[in-house]
Amino acid sequence: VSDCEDLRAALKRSATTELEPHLMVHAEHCPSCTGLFEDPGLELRQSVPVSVDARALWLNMPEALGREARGFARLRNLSTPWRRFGALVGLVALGVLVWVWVGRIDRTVLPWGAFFVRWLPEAGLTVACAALVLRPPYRRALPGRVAVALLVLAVMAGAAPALLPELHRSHSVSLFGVESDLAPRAAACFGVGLLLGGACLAWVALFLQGSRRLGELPLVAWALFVAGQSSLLSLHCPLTAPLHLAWGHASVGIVVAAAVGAWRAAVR
Amino acid sequence: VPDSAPEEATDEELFAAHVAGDPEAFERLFVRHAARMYGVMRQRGLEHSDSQDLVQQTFLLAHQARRDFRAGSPLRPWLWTIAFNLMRKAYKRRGRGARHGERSNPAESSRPHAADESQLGVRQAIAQLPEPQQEVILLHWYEGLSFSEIGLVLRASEGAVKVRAHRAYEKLRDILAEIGGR
Repeated sequence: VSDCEDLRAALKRSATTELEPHLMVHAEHCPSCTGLFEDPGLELRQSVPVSVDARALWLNMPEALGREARGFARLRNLSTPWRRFGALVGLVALGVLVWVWVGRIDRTVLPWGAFFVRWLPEAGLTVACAALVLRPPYRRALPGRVAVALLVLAVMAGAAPALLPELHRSHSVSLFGVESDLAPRAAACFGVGLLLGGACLAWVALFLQGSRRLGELPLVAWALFVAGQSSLLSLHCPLTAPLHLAWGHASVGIVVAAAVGAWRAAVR
Repeated sequence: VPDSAPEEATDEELFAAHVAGDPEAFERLFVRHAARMYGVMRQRGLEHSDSQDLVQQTFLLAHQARRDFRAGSPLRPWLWTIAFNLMRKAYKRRGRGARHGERSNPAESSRPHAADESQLGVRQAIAQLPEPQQEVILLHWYEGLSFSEIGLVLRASEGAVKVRAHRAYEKLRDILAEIGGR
């Protein structure tokens, strides 16, 4: 009787959001308390509108399912560990391609320790965002606050090198990207950054289960765009002037984040 | 050959058959669940076409994620988690204002299908519940999931789900009494 009273008292308390273990056990087994969690004879089952012909609804499905077995669509039908692995391999390959094909020309004078301290957070964030973008659909969606935090973090990681001391001043490229040279080189890096971010996103989207429409991509996909472009651009661009890094590199993340934020605000 | 034996296959067996390549298993699974899923989506305030679309998307995503499904675990909570995630996204897309506006009069959207006034009353009452309670009620009573399965769908403990269920049923009684007394 005491447990019955305790259970009822706990349920009445507005602060109660959980039942204590002993009350759970009691609720499970006490015949007079099990009714506390049951339908009070409302006949709800009959009350929910069921007015769809399931067989008619099925008619579009075979075609949609058939599409999943063709071409690149097969990639998103892999298991989640394989999807994540495939995305990671592609991102690494993209990084290697950028480094080998159009990599930094100041490698000989690059202070590697300082470079990695700046680059690893961007690269790590890119990989983390890719893993989160590929979160399976049967997991609860990433909380909005976390996604916003990741986007802000990606923007900040891209902006940090512009605020830190220059990597070096001993290579001739350290003289580029300033004064009258600032605008053209910053614009070029801005464009390359957009392309590289787009490439990261496009590759990972091949493994994405769910909508791939631009407007319906999760926020964390844009964090991936920002972190991805930032880390790849760092592998390509040898210019170290803070002004260039601010206007040509960090600006990509700021513009993308602002555009996504404005678009989301507008559709609400 | 009578069709009764395969008709009795469990959801999990049908899904396993689908993963193994049986072309009919998924259709049977779809037909078994689509109407109820549609009904819950309508009750949650979604339009007819949105509900149809989301039911199809739910099953398409279940198909895409089929290789992740762990044998031995129940299928319905898995399927409903996908459906609820899609519903939440749909609400976000439409904006909360539009959703609340529509939910304030859910009976109107389902009037053509209403059997009688009491059913309309129940639908109105459910729509007045807070979202977390509404989710529990629909999954518990209408879909028949156990509290532990609902916990899997909503990522909540069984105790928390029971608390919500109790409060939701209490509130429903009050709302219905109020509607009946008018």
